[in-house]
Amino acid sequence: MKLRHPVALIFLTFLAAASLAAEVKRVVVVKLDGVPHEFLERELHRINPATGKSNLPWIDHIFARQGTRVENFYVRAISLSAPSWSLLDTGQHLQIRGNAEFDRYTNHVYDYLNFFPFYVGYALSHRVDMPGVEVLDELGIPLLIDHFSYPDLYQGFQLFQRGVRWKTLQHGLQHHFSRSPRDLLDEWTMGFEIGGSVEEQMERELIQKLADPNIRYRLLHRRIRSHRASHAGPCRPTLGAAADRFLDWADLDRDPGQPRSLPNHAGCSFRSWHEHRSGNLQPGL
Amino acid sequence: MNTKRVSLRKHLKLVSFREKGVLPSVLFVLLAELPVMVQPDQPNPSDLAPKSDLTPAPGKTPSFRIQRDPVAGGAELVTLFGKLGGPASGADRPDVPIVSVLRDTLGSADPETERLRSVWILTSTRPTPLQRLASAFSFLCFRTGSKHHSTQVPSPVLDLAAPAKSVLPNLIGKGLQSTEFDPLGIAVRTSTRSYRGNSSDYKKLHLYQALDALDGLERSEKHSHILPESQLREIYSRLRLSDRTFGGLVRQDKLERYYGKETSRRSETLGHNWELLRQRAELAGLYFQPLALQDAAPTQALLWVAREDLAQPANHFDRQFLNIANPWTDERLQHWTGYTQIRYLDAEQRDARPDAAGARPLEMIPLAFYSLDHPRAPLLLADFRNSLKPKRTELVRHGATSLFAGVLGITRFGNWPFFVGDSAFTFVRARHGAATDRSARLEAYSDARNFLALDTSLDPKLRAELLHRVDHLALNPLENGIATEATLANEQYAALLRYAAPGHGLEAKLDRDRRKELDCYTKSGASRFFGGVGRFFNGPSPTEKSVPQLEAELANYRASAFHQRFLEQVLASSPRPEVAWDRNAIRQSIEALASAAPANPRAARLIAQVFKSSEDFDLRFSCLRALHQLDLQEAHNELWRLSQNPATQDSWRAICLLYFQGHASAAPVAAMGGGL
Repeated sequence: MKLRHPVALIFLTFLAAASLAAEVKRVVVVKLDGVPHEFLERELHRINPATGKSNLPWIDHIFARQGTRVENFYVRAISLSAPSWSLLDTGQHLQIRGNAEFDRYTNHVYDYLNFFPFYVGYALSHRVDMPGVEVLDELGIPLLIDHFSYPDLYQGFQLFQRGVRWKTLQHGLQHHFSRSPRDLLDEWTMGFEIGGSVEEQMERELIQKLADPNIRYRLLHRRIRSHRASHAGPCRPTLGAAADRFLDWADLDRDPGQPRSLPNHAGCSFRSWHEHRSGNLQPGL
Repeated sequence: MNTKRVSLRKHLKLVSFREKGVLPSVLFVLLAELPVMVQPDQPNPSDLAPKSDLTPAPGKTPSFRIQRDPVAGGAELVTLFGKLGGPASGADRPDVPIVSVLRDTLGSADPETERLRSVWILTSTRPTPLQRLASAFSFLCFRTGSKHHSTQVPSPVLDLAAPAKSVLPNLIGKGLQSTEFDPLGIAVRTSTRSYRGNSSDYKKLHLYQALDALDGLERSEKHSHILPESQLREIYSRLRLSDRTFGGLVRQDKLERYYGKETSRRSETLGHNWELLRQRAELAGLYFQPLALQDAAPTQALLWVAREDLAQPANHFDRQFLNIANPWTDERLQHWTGYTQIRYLDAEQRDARPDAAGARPLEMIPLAFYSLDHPRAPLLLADFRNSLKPKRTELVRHGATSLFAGVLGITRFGNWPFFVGDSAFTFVRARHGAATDRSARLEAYSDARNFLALDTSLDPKLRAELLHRVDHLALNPLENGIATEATLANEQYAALLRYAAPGHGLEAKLDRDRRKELDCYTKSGASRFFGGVGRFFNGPSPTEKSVPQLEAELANYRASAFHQRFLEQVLASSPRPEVAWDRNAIRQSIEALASAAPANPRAARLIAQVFKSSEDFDLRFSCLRALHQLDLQEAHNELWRLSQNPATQDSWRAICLLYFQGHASAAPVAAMGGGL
């Protein structure tokens, strides 16, 4: 079974997890949506001749060499993006059972994957939550993010999102055009990517927040359009490579609070990356 | 589930619509390309089998191979061969040289001292006078005869060692056109524009052919041994950028990123068009056949209709993206006498062997041939019911351009209302899948031509018919037939090999280029300029270095530059070099930089950065030893900075201080394994 998602998503959540476990300082959850496990396995074992290391060196370094691999995870519910994300973000039994749902009594369509109404709704009607979040709020099911106060949060973009970071666009564009003329000329010749500047801005913000001890919840969303190319070339491994880069930023070994021994690293199943069984991440729920 | 509930978190400070406006949100969504579009779920390739994928038979041998030839003076000619064949050629096709690259090795096998220089596209040749004359007439949109033989050494299309050289001539050409030729009246304007446009298209056609060949080269160990992946990427990126005005100015360190961007863009385009065409075909009840060379992604596709389906009641047909006439109401198909093919399908509509249980024969009629390598939507290249349709469309576009720019003299950059209108029109049309980009169409045509020349899986009769139909799209009088190109390429390759033999010109050119390169390392720009002027009037200086001395010095500089580039790449790729890269390779580069004859201040800074980034014990000591060994003020300064850096652990700061004070062999350092 595997997830079928329109846009492959990667979410990186950094959680200062003092409240989650006594010994663990931080939990890093890397969520890869739409990546079959064999792609990660294959890329992990493939040695890059240029570097002499695995194609996914950080996943290899953190999980394969120093972490724990679980090979028998299974999908507890339907293998679709919205239900799976809701399961991971709440640790509760599924209330969202499809990527899109329809209320037969009210004729209301719940499209959990469509960001456009969310942005427009935010600008026009002050609707600040993604549809999936609204549904969970109605049902009184808190998200993991709700356990952190607002000043302790840095949230990027994801399916279960609260609020939009308008400043990210502004800073992204400012940064994009404030480079040297030579850089701009190179960029212009190679093809401008305004969308890339926003993602780069989110990366920069995340790196800044990593250095801020007050921020206990950090989330970054990175979009890779691999589905459209999935029949044409081996694009899906790029998802793994992106996850690898996030781990690179996270640089778990550098965390002064983290002993460099195996049990203190976040173990994860990269064999069944997207097939997490629901575990209650939130104590007391 | 209730439908109306808006949760406003009290910690989220809302900004009113009036304060923010709609524009930021629209800009945010559009410019950032945030995931607002829900793409359809895509099935597994195995799910696509029933009506799609009539399973192209893979070829038996690789389409491309690579060969190395020695060049006098310590260089190599690396040539990419493809099994190009004309319509009449059978399975045994000769290897045809497509691209040659001069690699200056300084007579050494060490990759550190290699440098890529000239690139020749061997299928491209100098046009005949008749072709040149015809290309000046904008209404002559057909081949005016091929050039059959060429024994001259071809001109290089690019100098990889100095790619910026081509920028200025391009700018001057464009400037002259708009300031000098355009005001001279319709006759001069149309002829010069037509000539320049055809020349540019001819160059691009072969450029895309070369890129296609480089893209199709199998990444095997054997090939990597001859042409390493890094060099292949450099050649590909530089060639790809060479059709852009300022492409030669793009810096070397950006090429890797550009290569990744281009290859992923192409891969995405192919996948998108594959899926789009398949869906449209199946909706219309047609059969979709992707076509690919061996071990490559499908780049072309064929649409078929089964003759027995035509007898059934007409299906719904939507021509959007297919761009062909409705086959269900077309009388021509009822009485089709053209090419057909018998295919066997099983009960699940999968391709099957004739003797397989349940296999039934179907007579298939080809409808259209598409290129999948075209932005936004597949490009129709051949319509089997209307041979002239793709050509007619292309002629209309060509005519419109000639009319506005040539006859009326209205150009985008000389008339801003036209610029705005044309940009808006093109943007909207492109968003709807129209083929508005001439270069993209040319590339699709070049790829299709290349594919048909290389492919061995198609029925020869079908291939010949496709080649004939695609040839209709040849609008450029400078262009030669594909069969002639193979002869020309072989002859030009032979001429190039003669040129590369001792005493035949290439050796002397290589020597001149090496001296210029050494000057770049050792002299300022002004000094080089005046030196060049002096050489022009007085000939070579009597104090010029001998060849062995020149090669030895150049080898040192190149090796140093190689290791610096490597360390820059390592530092840029990861905050912890030893995690993402082999620590021995990093250490070797550091040691090589420390022992390099021309000590370089930049090397000292890079080594210090590696020390700061790494947490590897041995690697850090290698850095300190190298900084100590470098006889440079910058290296001492870096050691001092490291010893004072509060981010460094105290014990390491103490060791840095010992190295700075020259006590590197002191007992504490030696005890930690860091002695000299």
